[in-house]
Amino acid sequence: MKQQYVTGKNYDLGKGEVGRTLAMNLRNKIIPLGNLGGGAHLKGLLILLLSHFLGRIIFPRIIPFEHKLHRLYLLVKRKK
Amino acid sequence: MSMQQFYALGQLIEEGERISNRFDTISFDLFDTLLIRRIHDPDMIKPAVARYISNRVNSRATRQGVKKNWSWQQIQNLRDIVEKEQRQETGQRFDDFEACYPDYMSRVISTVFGEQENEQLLQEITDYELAIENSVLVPRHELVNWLRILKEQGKKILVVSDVYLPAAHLERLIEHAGFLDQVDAVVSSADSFLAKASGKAFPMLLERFELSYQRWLHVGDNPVSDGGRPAERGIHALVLRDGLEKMRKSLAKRYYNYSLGLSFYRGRCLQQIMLPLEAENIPQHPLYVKGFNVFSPLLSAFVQGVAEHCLNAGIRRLYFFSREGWLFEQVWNRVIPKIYAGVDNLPKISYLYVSRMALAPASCGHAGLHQEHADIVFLPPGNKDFRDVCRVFGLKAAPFTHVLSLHELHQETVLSHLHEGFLPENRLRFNQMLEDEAFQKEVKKQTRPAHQALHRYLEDQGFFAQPDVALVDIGWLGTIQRFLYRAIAHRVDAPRCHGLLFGATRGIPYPTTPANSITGIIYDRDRFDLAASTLLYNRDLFEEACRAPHPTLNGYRLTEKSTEDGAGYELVFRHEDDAVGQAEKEQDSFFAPLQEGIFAGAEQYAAAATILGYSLDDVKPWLNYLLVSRMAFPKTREIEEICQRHHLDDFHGQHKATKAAAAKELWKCSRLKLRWRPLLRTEFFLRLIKERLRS
Repeated sequence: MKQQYVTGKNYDLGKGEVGRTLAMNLRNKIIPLGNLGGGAHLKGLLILLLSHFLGRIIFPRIIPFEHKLHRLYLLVKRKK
Repeated sequence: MSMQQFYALGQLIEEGERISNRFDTISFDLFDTLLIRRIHDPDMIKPAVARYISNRVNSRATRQGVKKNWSWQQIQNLRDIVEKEQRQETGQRFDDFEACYPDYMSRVISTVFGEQENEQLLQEITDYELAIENSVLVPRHELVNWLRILKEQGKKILVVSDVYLPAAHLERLIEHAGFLDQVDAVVSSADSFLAKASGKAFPMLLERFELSYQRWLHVGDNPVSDGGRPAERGIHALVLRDGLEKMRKSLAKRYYNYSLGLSFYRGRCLQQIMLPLEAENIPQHPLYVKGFNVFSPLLSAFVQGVAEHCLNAGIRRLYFFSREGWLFEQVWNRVIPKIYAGVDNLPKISYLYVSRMALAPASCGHAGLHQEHADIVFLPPGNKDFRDVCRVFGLKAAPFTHVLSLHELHQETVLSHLHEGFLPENRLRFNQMLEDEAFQKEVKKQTRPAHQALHRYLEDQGFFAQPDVALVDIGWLGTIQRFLYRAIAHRVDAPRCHGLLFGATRGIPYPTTPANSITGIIYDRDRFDLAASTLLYNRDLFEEACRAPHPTLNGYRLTEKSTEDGAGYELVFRHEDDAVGQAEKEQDSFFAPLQEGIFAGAEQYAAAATILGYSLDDVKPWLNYLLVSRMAFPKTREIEEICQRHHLDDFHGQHKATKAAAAKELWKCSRLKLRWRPLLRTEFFLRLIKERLRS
């Protein structure tokens, strides 16, 4: 059997757990799967999906502008 | 000299190697540079320490009969206040607002424990805090390798950190990480209150180690403390701002923040902290990965639930039933002492050699064969007639010939409704025979030695020394406990038996009394829990995954007690030299990587659960998700990888049932079906919903 990693390259559990979580939560909207503690918030799950899958591309590219982005983030937060 | 920033570790090391011959001293920052944390916020370990102190002080108060309790939140607040006060005091004398752990922690301990001789306590609390730190710290593999190369080249290696832990504590962390021998000195701002943040640490180091700024290279992660400040002094600085580390921490933080509002994410957050990083994350057998990511949270949470139950019910003695209990005990030893550190009323644990085949005869030695127990024999379709009753209860059939004929029965009379030739009146005759005194007398005569041997074994194990005992098993009907309790119930010193099962499926009603009960921790049919009921898809898988690498127990044999060391009993194990024994061995070796993964995962579960302070209820929604996604909606590849090869059950006979409808099981469907029928899993799940609603 082909060997696998416990921590995936995108810091997920193994391979594609976040995708599976999304699929299960969507399935839960059609058939009741049981007590999943209210399930995962769909918006949050989509953000996690993006972070896991695109994080390796995005984070190394935005890190040089971290301080500027942080200031922008604070500004947006304050305006909210 | 200048400061260079790098956004990937590889680039930093490459540049460092290129310029390293210009320097003879290399100083490294410690946290987030040489060592990274699994958690996003270093302060997350403080509540765990507060819980430990709270457990210690409250346990002591209970022993002394004092009512005053300290909650961990109160202790955490006190620590924050005292630490802040010390930082303010330091700030008046130095440029940096630094704190020193032993100083302020001594004040916390004095306030909480209210005593003078707190040296020992401080030592123990420090040990605990450092153990928690160690459990979340991981050395950066590539950077430590470069450090080793630099050391080989004869450079002076310093580790410099702005932190509240003194250098002696940091040395222990570095020793645990495995590279203390490569470091010439460890320097902490907690000792001198001169930190890198103000830049005051660098002249101090220059003087103390007789260095030269021009021949000094500093490596760290903070653009100010590790970049700007050393560069101001003329030290060449390499600053690492690692994008992937940022990503990892950002994910950990997001999971943590979500877990504060949504209970579904608590278990997921815990698993994020559990993940192996850097050199720990090496390619593993697929079953190891499943053991780590799926089985270890389930089983660790189960033993945590068992511990919670024992603490709430005041149970001080716990027995793990063989053979699944072997793995539960291993998991307990890895998880519970860490999660409940400082708690002194945890139950004492032991492993008890039991099995249905060994206990069935012993259960009849005093009270005879009960109809309810005889009925259990005919639950599996492999059992058909009186010979199967004899096999299960360790009886010789020949002495029963007369009593059988009195009730118009013989050994081959079909007694199971699942077999051809079954007549209900024969079963009624059999039940009547169970009430026959002559029959019961013969049963007791034949099973008394096993009964006596069991009692000697249980006495040897201290079973009768406590008023309450917890009996931990995987499940499912509680048959082992049922037999065990019948064997001991007549004794005045019989303890109250609290069965704690991984899954209580209750296929037949359990005779619950205050003195004898079972509770399902992860799944109990008495509580409607659709998601957890998915473990019914493949119960054998859990049994195989948890099974001890020793043969099953066949019985208890009475021996002479005359010799000094003779216990008066002997445990008889099944031989492993036959085909079934060999098949079982093969199965054990097949699942060995899975168990390895479970043990490795349990260690990390303990650390993560200690830090987050989660209970079983907190992580239950995530466990339910794991069960539903892995048992009811598994990928075809997963079923192929994990599906067990052999499953031994001596309790089940060898007969082939003719009337038993072949139960359709998802896990036994063909690969073709699994792969190409898109709604197959949904069909099975709808069937499960129907069954659960009916039952």
